[in-house]
Amino acid sequence: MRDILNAGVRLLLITLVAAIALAAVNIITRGPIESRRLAESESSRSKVMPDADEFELIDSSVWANGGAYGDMAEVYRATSGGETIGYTFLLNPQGYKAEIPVTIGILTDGSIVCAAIGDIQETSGLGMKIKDEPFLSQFVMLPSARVSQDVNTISGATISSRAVKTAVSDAILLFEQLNAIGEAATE
Amino acid sequence: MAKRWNASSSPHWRDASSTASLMRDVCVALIPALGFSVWYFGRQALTVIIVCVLSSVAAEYLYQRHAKKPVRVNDWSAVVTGLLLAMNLPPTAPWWMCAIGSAIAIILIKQIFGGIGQNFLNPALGARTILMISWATLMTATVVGRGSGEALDAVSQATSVDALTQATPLALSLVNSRSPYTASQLFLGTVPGMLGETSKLALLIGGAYLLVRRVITWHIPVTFILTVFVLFLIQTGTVWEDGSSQSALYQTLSGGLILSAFFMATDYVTSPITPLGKAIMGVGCGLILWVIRAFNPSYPEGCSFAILFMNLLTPLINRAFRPIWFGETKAGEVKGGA
Amino acid sequence: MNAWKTIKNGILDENPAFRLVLGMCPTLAVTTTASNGLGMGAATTFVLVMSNLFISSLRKVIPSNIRIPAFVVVIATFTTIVQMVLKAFVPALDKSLGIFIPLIVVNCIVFARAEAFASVNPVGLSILDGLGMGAGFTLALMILSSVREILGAGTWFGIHIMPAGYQPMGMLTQPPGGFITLGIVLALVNVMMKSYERRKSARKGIQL
Repeated sequence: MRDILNAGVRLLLITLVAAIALAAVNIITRGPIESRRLAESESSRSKVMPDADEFELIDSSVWANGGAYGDMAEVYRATSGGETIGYTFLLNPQGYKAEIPVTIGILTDGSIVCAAIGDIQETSGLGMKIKDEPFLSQFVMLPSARVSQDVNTISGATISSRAVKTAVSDAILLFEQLNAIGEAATE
Repeated sequence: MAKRWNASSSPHWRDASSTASLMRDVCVALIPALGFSVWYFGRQALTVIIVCVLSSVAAEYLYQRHAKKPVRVNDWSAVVTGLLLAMNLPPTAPWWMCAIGSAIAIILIKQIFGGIGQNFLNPALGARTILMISWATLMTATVVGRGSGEALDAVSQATSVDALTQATPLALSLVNSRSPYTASQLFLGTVPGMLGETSKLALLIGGAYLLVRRVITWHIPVTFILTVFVLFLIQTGTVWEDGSSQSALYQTLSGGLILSAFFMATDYVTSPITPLGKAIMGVGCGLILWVIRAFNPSYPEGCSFAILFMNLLTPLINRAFRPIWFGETKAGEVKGGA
Repeated sequence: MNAWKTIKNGILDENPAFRLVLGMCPTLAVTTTASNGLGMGAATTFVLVMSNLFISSLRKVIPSNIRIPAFVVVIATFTTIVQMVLKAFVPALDKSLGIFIPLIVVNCIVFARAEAFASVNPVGLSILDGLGMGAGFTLALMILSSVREILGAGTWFGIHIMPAGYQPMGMLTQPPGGFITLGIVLALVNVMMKSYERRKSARKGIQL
């Protein structure tokens, strides 16, 4: 009995010291981790909407419509000098292997500024090509009505390409709703 | 003292065949298909064939010299591996890819495991699969050959290749179910595809030669092709429909099925020994091929994988279905008091 | 056992990846790029050194019948510290190594050295052993990941070093490539060690 108690107490001490050490390191690193996460999503938004100087988060209760907009994660209104110039959308559609973070910027006139892809782990040489210029440049300045026809998928990377196209289409759908609301509000 | 007695264990039945003569028969059987490919795809096909064969022979010679083993290049098995690899490559394959493929087949898959008779996978197929994963765009750049009529619209929406590429009959069936290829085109081989797989007529002539010369038995090819045909017949409901790629005959005549059934699946080392085992392998290959073609959206062609899977299962099949010895009542049991 | 011998042991004679064949999971999984290999090696070395240090200092205090949970707590603590630090200050590495950082906890090398060396040796030597094993592991990861990245993607540490017309051999950066490359490197290492040992005993006049 004494042995068990002895062993238990020692283990408790070791674990206690470990927990204190972990808590200390956590406090130190918590700040940098959070600010990095914010900086990252900020930089994607700036990349797809370079003319905007401010982004205003649109609460998900406005658009969460039971999955009507696919894998929509974040929606921001982009303003420049106080005027709305467009919206940015972050979606996470399922790719071939894992989720693909897609950020899209759409101007108020309905044309897509560009699309940016976050960190992905698709098949190298095939699915990874959705990050390359030939594929992404198809979206630049494309009128949203022409996405399904004019955007070519990458041969051999059907699932990854389609995921991005679907994401863009979903973003366009939501954009049209928001734009209609926005226009109605300014009239 | 002169050698008087020749002591050896059974079997004592001798005939004229040897490894070299069997391999040479296979080479002869491949001539119709190789000839067609050179006529149809032109000089690039000839380059691929020559580079593959020379690199295979060189790889085997160099390895056996370096590893201080007896050099057995004269058993022609390296030549056959080279030819079979060439048949599975597109005619536009660059020379260095052919050389690397041959080296992989001979050194990595065959020699390292113990040389002829010890490989656990079909060397040409294993090498071709490795090439496929490594250089996917180069391996799928199929081109139109001569004499194929007016050029068809590019359906494959490729982003990189600028030569006159065209979707193979199978690649088309993946994208949609319409296909312009006629039955005679598929059968004669005037369609895009890998070097040796297009002309079913030439392949069947070669296969018949192999059967007549008793190099292979009918079990694997017939069960393989029949299984595929029947499964597609059940799935699509029609034997043939003009303009559609969803018919049993279209699927059976497309891709590497005929080539694989006669030349690749029947490799002695990696297929079962008994007739029942062979039939099981044929059915298994056919089943896996159908599953890959019917349900997998990424790969139009399932032959290599089907055969490689069954190669891996062959030792199990051999063990499970081994013939009954004289004196056993059934596998494992011996009659009492024998 | 002097200091240099302990370290050299971990790098050459008992290289954890090539000779002890331990830690195969991260070896196969993260060696797709040289920077991944280096990062993983550094992280594992830190965990090795720190856990060896603490386990060795506590070796008289930990009763033998609960040594396994005790080791696990120590190793897990340092692994979590590594993960938090990477997430905060080197997030790119954290993203590309992903789940394999927390998996350092169950890396056989760390546990094996804790059990076989640190729990029965003084602190100084244990630290050196951790350094040697970590260095050996990092060396193995660097060799493997350099081959896979240079031939499989044409780059080294992200810099294009193959000539422009080079077609990268995609398979090498995928799992089958990992297995095949590891197998070939293991074979070569064994061949080299055999001939080295033969020459060493020939010099000493021993007939094999």
